[in-house]
Amino acid sequence: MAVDPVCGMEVNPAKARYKTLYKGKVYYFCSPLCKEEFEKRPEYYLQHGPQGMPHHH
Amino acid sequence: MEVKVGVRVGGRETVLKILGMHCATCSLTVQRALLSVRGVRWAEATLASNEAKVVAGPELDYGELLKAVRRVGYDVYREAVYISVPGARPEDAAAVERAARLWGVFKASFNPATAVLYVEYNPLEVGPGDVAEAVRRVGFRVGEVSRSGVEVDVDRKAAEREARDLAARLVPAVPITALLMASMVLPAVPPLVQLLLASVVQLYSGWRFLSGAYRAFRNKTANMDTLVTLGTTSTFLYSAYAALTGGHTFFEASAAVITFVLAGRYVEARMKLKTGDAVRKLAQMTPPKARVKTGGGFAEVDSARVEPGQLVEVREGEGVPVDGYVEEGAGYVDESAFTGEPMPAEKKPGDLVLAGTLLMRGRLVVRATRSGAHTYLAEVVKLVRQAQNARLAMQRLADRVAGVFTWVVLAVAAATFAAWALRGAAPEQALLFAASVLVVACPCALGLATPLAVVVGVGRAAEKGLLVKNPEAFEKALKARFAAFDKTGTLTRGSPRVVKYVGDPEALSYAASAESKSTHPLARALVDYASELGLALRPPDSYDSFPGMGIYASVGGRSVGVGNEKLMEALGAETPRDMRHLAEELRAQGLSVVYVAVDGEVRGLAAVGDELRPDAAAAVQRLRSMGLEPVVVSGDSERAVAAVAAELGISRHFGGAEPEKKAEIVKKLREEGGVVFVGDGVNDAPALATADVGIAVSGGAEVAKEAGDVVVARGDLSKVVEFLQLSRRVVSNAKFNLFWAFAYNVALIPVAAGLFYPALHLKPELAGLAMALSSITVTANALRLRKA
Repeated sequence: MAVDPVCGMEVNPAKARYKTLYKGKVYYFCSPLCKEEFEKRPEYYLQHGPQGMPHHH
Repeated sequence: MEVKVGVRVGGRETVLKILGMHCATCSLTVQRALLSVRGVRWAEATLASNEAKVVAGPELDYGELLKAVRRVGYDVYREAVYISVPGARPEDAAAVERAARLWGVFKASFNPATAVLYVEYNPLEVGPGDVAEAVRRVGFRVGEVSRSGVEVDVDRKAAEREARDLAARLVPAVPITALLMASMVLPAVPPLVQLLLASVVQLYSGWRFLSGAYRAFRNKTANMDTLVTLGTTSTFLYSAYAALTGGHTFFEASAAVITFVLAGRYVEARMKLKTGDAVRKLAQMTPPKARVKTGGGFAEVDSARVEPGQLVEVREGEGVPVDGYVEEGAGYVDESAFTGEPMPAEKKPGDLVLAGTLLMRGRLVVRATRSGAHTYLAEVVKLVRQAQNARLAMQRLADRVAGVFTWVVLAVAAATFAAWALRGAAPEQALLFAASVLVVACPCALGLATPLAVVVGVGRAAEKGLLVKNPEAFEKALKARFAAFDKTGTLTRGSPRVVKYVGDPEALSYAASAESKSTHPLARALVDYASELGLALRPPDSYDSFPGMGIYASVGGRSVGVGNEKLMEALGAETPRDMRHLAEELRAQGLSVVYVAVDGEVRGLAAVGDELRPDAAAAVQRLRSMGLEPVVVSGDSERAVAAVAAELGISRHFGGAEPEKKAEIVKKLREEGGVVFVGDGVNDAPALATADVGIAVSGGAEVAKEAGDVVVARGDLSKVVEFLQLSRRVVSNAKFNLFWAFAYNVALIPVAAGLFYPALHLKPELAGLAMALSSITVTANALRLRKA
């Protein structure tokens, strides 16, 4: 199991629909929201760990 | 409700089963289409029952209902029947068709070359029996009635029966005529005996002309039989009067005309047996029995009875009885009947085999998918037979002329008699000239001119692996200026291959391993390329694809990325500058380029492209030499299309064209000249339909569903050239026949009328002989196409 780096949920890599590649590593997400959020600030999430579900402002 | 409406509107009600309706808009479209037909007063299409109810007045042309529905993209369920009408002459075509057009009949077309009437009807309204009865009611004899298009013996049986009947009538006619002609020189036979003998010829041998003339009279038309009957009975009756009153008789004239015309028809009937040979050969290629696997072994059953899913054994030297896939075994199959390709094709488990092909070597167990009337072969035969019934545009002129021809001849004959009588010729002299005119005229050559060429030409095309669905394509192909090709799968193989790889083999084996799970064409190309080089592949431990970028996988503990610059960037792998340059160069040639990165390092580059078919250049060259300008129209990128066009030396090309756009391009081209479009039968349907001639290059076995006027059974471009060549032969053959038919009549009718008397004239018996030979000439000429 992989962990969504934005919200911290567990995601099954075999079935995950949302994923991205960053610096040679694949990251899996539970939703397109988390994916977008991660792509905006990848370094922030990698350094600070999951912050819970992102909100739309 | 509906009934009330129907009653209030008044008129006759009919129900059509509509095919292809699946939404409420569909039913509205169909309804609107039906209402636009002249004579329709009320129409309603119901989605639930897939039916349309129509109330119409007597002015309705039933066939228009079908056309209207088809025009908006749907279809009407209908059944077809072939009815043989032995004894109907080409000039009777209009009368037979008119009789057959009952309420519920969409289409009735009589093929003068085979004397078979083809009828498409609405089974909810009429049956084949009603149509046959209607044809019988106007005086024609009805022979075989066959429901399936696969049964091709209808016309053969009709032609054979015709030949037998003619032979029987010739038996007394020949010796009697010989005796009568001999007695012109040696007056050994007394006139009254001559009368008796001539009566046998006139009434028994000539019976078919008498009955034919009577039938035509009842249908208010005149045909060939009318002319022969009038020509012979007038001289016969005059001679009979002379025999009784002691005057000069010429019984030999009427007897000889009947004998010659009968003999001519006999030869024609024998020759016509050969016109349908090609189709007959095709249809007979399915063996009647198949060995089907049962619990323990194999049991023999009728081929048509094999159910989809059953296993059928085919042994060496046997025909394949069903369509299906090879389950086990291997062998070589002769498919020349469909493809014209003489080399047997190798078949191994998973390959498609077709009913009617021949297993040359090996043994196969085939899992049946289709049998009987549903096989590819059966569809082909059905299509070919339908096409053989169609007429060429140039025949329309001949048909118009043929329609009035007999009346004109009757008038000319009457004028001839009057003119000679006025000039003071003896009445028998005037009568002989008139009779010559009547029997020399040959309307049947006019009626047969192009239909025979079509029947033989379409059959010959089928033998070459060219399925002609619309014979007008023969004519239109000759007027074409452009040969427009779809690119992918038509000019090219349709499956991309690795054209260039730069990098180390280890990286390639990682890349191919990473791609081994993917079905993307690019991935397949990499895997095939690596396998060809003998590299070992292993399944990836993990695999992810990133649309628009590439894939990323883990193989044997190494991380592997295969994709474009974006993917490399995301992997944090740096692409060397020279590799970037190379990539740019390759892309300019229309190739797709992917990089291979292993553990974050770019180690290789692969260029993937769709290769030209090996025969593409030759085919394009030959088309050019035939005066056609090649054009490429493709949905692929401008760059890829331009590269292919450049390789083939084609200057006009259009890239990035979606199916609808392709049709628009074809439309634009048509403003400059005729267009032959060669493309995929399913994806390019709009362009195929827009072009003057659509040639579908088909890989599958669903011929009937493919768009296009011509279907080339396998993606073989030389077939396109062959079709154009055959078109030339068919059209020039038909033209010769038409020319002959006109020239013959125009030249000989004045001679027969005695315009050049006494230098040049035709006695009635010679006139009859000339007429018979003219018919035979037209038939023999059309048969030459069997070798075209």
